[in-house]
Amino acid sequence: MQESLLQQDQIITIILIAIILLMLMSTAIIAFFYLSRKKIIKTELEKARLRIDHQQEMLRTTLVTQEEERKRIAQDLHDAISSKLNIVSLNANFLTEPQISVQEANSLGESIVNVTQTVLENSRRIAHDLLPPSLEKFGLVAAIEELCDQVQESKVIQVKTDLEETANVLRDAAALHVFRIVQELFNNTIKYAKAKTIVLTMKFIENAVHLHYQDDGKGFVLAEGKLAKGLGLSGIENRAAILNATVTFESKPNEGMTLRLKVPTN
Amino acid sequence: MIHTVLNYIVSILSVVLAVVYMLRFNGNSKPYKIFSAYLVFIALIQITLWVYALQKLNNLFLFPYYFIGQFLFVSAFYFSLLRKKWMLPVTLVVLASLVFQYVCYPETTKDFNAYGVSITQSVVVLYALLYYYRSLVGEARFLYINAGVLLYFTTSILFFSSSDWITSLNLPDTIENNLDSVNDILYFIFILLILVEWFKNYRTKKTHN
Repeated sequence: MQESLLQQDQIITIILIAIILLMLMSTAIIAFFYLSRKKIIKTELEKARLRIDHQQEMLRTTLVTQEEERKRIAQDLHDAISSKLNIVSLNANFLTEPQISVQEANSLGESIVNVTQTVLENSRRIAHDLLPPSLEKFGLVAAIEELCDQVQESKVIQVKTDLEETANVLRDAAALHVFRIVQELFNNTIKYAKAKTIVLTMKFIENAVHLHYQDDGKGFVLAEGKLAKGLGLSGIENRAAILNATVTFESKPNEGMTLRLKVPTN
Repeated sequence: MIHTVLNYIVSILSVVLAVVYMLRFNGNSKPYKIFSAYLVFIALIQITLWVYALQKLNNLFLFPYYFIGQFLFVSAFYFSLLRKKWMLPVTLVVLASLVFQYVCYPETTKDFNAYGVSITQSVVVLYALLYYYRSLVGEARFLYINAGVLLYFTTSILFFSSSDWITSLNLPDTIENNLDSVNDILYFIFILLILVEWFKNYRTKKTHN
């Protein structure tokens, strides 16, 4: 009898221990779930915060670039148009003087014509810089070809191009962003790189426009280049982000610079 | 004594839960409605158990209805949450195996059916674990209910599957009652978590679609 009771006690103890163990196991799973969820949510929040920070930084850079562009346009208008028109106004005032000789009047008239022509030429150039008419009329490829011709005119840099007409699928805002990126790249090469050759290709492959730009200039350390404001690499990255495009830079000191841009069209 | 008191509390709470969940039945999501139906089913089983107990009749014949019904309702609840196509054939296979068992071995209707309980509870535990995995990211609903299901169904697998064996040992009533009390405590925790879910998320009238 005593032995039977002892056995019963043991059975009950084993069952109770097993139930307690299962309870502990379930509790551990529940605790593990809550802790993992907390950690995952924290990581997600961190990611969202970084994304917002990046967007704010993009916005800030865009505003700074816009402000700089306004300053440049203001400077251009002042130097190339306002100051010249002042001369025209002054000369025209002289013409109204009663004691002016015919010879002087002719000379002043000639000066007015010359200055006016320069002003006209300058205003056309400024307007062209702001938005090249060829971009709207003939598309991205034609506008970039025109840009390449302008760079070649300097005879300092040779530009080798392979621009496929199929790349004209990009229109309006997207085309303008790609054009500005190419413009910025040319500016960098001319101002800083001291390059002799630029190779530029643009193709349409598998629902994306692929742009490849390479110069043989003095290059730069990539990390430093991205921080340098003058190079405008962050501006290029911002435009790429707006286009939902992927952009990669490759550069090393004395080994030139390469950019690859892939702009999806769908 | 503890066993009887706990039994009272659990039975009353089962009915209370069914009532409070039904109060917010309209305008709530499909999983909520299925779970409310499950609670009504449990409340009905509890009431029937009491009626039989009061008339001092054996109520063990209700057990197959209880655990098969519970399996179907909880599976439907998880199916509406997880939307996995394979859940339907799994549920049907388990159900078919139970029908086969009861047809071929009718005597199993008179005991706790260790096989039936183990398989149905294990499948439900699997669904609960899967739901936890799904809820790691994004919106997560019914987390209290899921914790309750995991806790109660895991431990009760052992409890129910060993019930026949314990009965066969002819232990004194006090020991069997004590073991029943352990199950009642676990069931009480399960019910409490369901009540917490309702209190925290469904007490006030708002839609959860």
